[in-house]
Parts: sequence; C-alpha cells; structure tokens
Amino acid sequence: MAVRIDHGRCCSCGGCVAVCPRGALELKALYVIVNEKLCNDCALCLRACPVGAILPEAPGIRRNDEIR
Amino acid sequence: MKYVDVLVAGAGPAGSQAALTVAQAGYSVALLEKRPEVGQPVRCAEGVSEKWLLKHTGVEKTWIDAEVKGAVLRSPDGNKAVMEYAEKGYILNRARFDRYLAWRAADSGAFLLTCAAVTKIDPCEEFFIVKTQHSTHQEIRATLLILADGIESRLAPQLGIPTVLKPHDIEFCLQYTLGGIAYDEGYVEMIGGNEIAPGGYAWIFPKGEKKANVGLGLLGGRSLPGLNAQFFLDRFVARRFPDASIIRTVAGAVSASEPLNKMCGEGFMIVGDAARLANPLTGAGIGNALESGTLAGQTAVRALAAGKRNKEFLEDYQHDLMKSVGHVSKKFYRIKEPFVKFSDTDINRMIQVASQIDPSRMTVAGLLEAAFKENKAVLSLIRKAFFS
Repeated sequence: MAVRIDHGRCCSCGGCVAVCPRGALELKALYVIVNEKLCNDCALCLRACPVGAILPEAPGIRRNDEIR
Repeated sequence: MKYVDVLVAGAGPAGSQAALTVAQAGYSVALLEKRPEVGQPVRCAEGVSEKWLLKHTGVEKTWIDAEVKGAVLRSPDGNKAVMEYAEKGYILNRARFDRYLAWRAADSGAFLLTCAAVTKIDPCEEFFIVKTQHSTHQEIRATLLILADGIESRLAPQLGIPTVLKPHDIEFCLQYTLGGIAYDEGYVEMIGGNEIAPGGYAWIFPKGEKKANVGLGLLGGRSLPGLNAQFFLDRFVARRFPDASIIRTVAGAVSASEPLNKMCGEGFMIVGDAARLANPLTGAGIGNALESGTLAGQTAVRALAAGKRNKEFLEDYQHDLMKSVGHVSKKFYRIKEPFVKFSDTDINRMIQVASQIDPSRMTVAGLLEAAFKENKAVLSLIRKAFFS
C-alpha cells in the first residue's frame, strides 16, 4: 500500500518526517518523498499533515513517488 | 574532494550560528543548505525575545517586522489576561533573518552552499566522508560534523541517535500571514481552547502594516485526517478575520518533547530543532537554536585546538547547553503533560484568575500557578521547576 503525497498541497513542513517510526519519509528541498519499501501503513503521517497532503494510496494506481 | 575542519548540515539559525563561531576562530567550515534559498520557505511564527538577539546576533532593522511589549492571553469564553514582558519581543522576518545569519557566517569565512542536501555520512577513523546532492561538491571530508537539519532530522539516526518524535511530543502547525486586519498593536495574542486548537493554542503575531501571522498548533495525538490544523485554522480565521487576505501560508511542526538524551557522539554534535530544543510548552525555538549553535561551535573550536574529536570531549557541548537552556526545556516538559489535558473550563478559570494579576507582574510561573490553582500536585511541580 504505502501513502501518496499530494505535492500540490504539501507545504514542506517536515512534520510527517519527524513522526514516521520507519524513516520512510524524507523532506527533499521542497517536497516530501515516500520510500514505499519502508512504509508499513501505520498512518501516523496522515494524521500529522496540517494540510491533508498525505493520502492513502489507491490500489491499482501505478506509483512514481519521485515524479509525483 | 573538499576537506574542511567542520561541516554544518542545515543553514537555519542554529547551523549558521555554529558555522560563524567556527569560522571566526579561523577554522575551515562548510555550511550546507538543502534548499535552493536559505530561509525559504519559512516554517515559523517568527517571535523571539530581545535577549537572544542581543546575545547572539544584534538587532538589525532589515529583518524586524514588529516590536512587541507583551502578550494578551485569551480564554475560549472570551476573557483575557495581559502579560507585560520583562524583555521586549520581536516579530522577525525569518526569510531575511536566516539569510542574514548565513551570509554573516559566509562573510566570516564559512563556505556556504545551497541545493546541497546531505544524503549519506560515512564515519571513518579520523573524519567523516559526507555525500551531498550538490552538483559539484558531491563528497566533502570533515573532521567534525554539526547536524542542524531541523525538525525532520534525518542525519542523527544515521549516526545511531534516534530522533523520531511520538505523536504526543509534537505540535503540527499551520499559519497564515493575513493582510488588512486589525489587532492589538504591540502585543502578541494567544488563544486557548479545545474547540480552537486541541492540545495547542492559536496565535496572532503582529507583523506591522495591518499584517499578522495568524496560526495554530495541534498536539500530534489530536490531529486527525480532515480535522487537521487547516480545518481548525480556517474556522478560526473565518470567525475572527472573515475578510482578510491570505498573503502567505506557512506549515510547520514543533517538537514538544524533552531535549535529546544524546546530543553528540564520536565527531559530531546535534543542534537546534534537530536536538529537539524548542520549548515544549510555548514552541519558542529561535533563542535555543542560536544558543545551541554558538555552544556547539565553541566546543568544535576547542576540540580542533586540542586535536580531539571523541564523544567524551564533545559532551562538553551538551553539558553547557543543558546548563544554559536545556534544563528549562526539561522543566517545561513536565508541566506540558498536565497542561495539554486542560478542559475549556480549566482554561477559562486560569485566564479568569490571571486577569486579576497586575500585567507588569505576571510571569509564566505566575500564570501556571493560576492555571493549576486547584491541583496541588502540579502546583508543587511548578514551584519546584521555577523556584528551586
């Protein structure tokens, strides 16, 4: 599963990165990326995001986190 | 490969201050910022007490937006108490402030690079090999490392120091800089209440010219998808400033935890937000960041002069820091725990009691005493924390 970051909404605050217990999130210069191999769907980041930019990944949709 | 005595990762106030201190002592230092521009985007409510500026940076008009002399504390039922600050406060222009500090470090001899995220740290016997995303300087060798990579702190875990924050030890914040609004000139305003900002508070920080930073923070455990900081801020702004323009949107997260247990190791030190140094009750972090950057820089200079880089030597930094500001954060953390459990009735009563106190005599300790008037256990904790 893993999560999806809406880069149109993300304000790059880094709060989700600070609480991710698996180190699966990383704040690049201006956006957050997900390492889906590390994500275990705990959803702490979904609750953390102040602007609702983290969404549960929809099944069946191809992921490309670096581009998204 | 470039070789430096000290590499500082992150050019916020803590990192720039550390780099300045090292550069001024004549050692070579690289100051790496992952973002394309130092200071942007801002992640801060921008308030700071004058004492920290006088101690570390001086006061420059170019990066001060407004002066404040006190705080108006408002309860959910609309009552207010006024606190006159013993020291003046400033609302900064953080983008300019951060640029000023980074440039001041560079002007003193630090080698400043933007677009230079640190990706990997390889510890060797006598130095680190630091891999970066910079196009030219992809590897830098450094004797000492100062990690100033902010709230997201991804570098310390690489060196064996966990920095993950539990949801009840972080505040998730959102802030709008609003234009064309009226507020109390010269005062910051803080508004409590679980309907307004669960486990946190809302703030109005004047920026001059009818502009203000209006924001709020939610305690991690109380933020939910759909009921996040944006939901609460939009509701607050719609009620209080329905016609205001939103000039800027700032998201941020502030640790509400104790400082890290371990702030250093073989060859490295951790400073600022990365060391979880923000005040766990108020969220204030700039002063502690400046202080930690300076102290880490001073320890680095002593270590280089002595030719040492072992953990025991660098522990001086942690010791100095805990003595100067760290112990205050620890005290506030113990008070934060009961404070975030406050009901709206508790907050109303606290402001009611505090409104009877002479504003020029009110202190944070006095306010907390008012807050926990009927809770003997917490009251004794406050007295111990502030008066012993």
